[in-house]
Amino acid sequence: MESPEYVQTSTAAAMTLKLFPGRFYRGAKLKALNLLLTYSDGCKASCAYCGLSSKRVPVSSKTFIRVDWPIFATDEIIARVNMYGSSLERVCISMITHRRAYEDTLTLVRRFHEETPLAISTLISPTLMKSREMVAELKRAGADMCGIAVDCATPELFDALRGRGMGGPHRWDHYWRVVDWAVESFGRYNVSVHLIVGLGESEREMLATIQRAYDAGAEAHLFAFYPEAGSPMQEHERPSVEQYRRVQLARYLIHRNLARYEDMRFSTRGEVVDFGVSRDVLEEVIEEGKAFMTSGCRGRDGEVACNRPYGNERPSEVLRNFPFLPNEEDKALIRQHLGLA
Amino acid sequence: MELKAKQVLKVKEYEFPLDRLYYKGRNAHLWVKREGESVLIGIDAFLAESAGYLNYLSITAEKLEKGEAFANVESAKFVSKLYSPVSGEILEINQEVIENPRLINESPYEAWIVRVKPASEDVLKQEDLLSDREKLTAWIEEEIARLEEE
Repeated sequence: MESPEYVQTSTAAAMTLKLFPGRFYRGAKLKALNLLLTYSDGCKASCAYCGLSSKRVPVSSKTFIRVDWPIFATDEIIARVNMYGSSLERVCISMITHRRAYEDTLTLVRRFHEETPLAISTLISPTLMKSREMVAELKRAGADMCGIAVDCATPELFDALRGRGMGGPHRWDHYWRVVDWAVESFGRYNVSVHLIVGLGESEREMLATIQRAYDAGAEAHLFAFYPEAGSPMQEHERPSVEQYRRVQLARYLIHRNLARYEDMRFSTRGEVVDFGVSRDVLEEVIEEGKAFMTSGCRGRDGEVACNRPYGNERPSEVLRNFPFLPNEEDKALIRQHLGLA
Repeated sequence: MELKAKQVLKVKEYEFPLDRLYYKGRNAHLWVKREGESVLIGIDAFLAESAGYLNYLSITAEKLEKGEAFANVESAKFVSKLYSPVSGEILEINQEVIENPRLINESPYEAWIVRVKPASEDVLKQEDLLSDREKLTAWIEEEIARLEEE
């Protein structure tokens, strides 16, 4: 059962397509289908935090980003998108680091483009991308947005957790080169850089990288680190919700051109102590609530489609990424997290 | 002992063996089955299916009070409190189900959660504990419609 005939789907996607039982807490609706290429010999990378890592010790539950990713036939997924996918606006086809992944991604992009009404994102593995032309071909095949999972906020962390430190194939400079290629092909802000908060970086380092991505024409899409059982980082602590809130807020200010990284001030430990805007602006942004929603590729209405409900935490926990607009109770809690209550 | 087909009510894809009572309270969907002097309490097929594959189940009360929360269940994308259908004393917790809540998804009417000594005989004679086919069918159909609207 390998791609392109088969794909892995997120638990949320499987539920939405009625392949898995279940519903979403607080009535959340999945707006983007996340699909992952799959091969019997797996991903050739060995990222320290990743559930797909070749270095992961076998565990009973093979999770990726916290949940199971069951395998289904691509034909069945496409048929069910057309039957049950009324809430869906977008599909994201994610490569893994495997020699066949690029060609198979092209095949899948073409199929979804021709056979479904969904807008298409590709989450590409830069290590497989040897030229600008390879990135451009994904656009021509039908994708309109492109994601690149840089994940780590600094070159040192990247090298330690994804590169030489883990005997892995990924290289920081090449990732950013591919970000530039993607912006050339897909256009400014139709490209995203995924970043995981809590891998060991400071808030200052994370925000410097968010600003770098934004200046390069890429949006930063945030994830909160969640330890995968059996991975080398299974004992690593999750970032505090306070840290995550500050990064979310600062990222939003950067993306809305309300502040730049250089306007912000940080403590000696690298925590944000001044967001570079007035208290009134902060209050307005918190009241609006969008800063704390999941960051991801946009849908037809220009709002985030890739909302990944409960992708970063158990539904019983404080939500890091809200898959819907936070309500008044949520916002009161957010103010507490930010020390602005 | 397996129930005969006529002793199992089927409403769409959900089955309800008629050898027990079903709690209709808000966010309920628990069954109560008499076993001698005690009763067993578990989750019905509707909640087992709509909650998704359960990963966590915890008992949060030492004693059951009717209508009060006594447990939490959680799947990958959903979490809910369980509200007790009866008042009474917890005699036994099914540790096998606590350790592997997916047993509830696999076999909701076998995977009981707690064994309880009811506070009185009357606690089982309440209007919100259903065993009547028609009332049960009407309620489950309402619940299916509510879920589809969510």
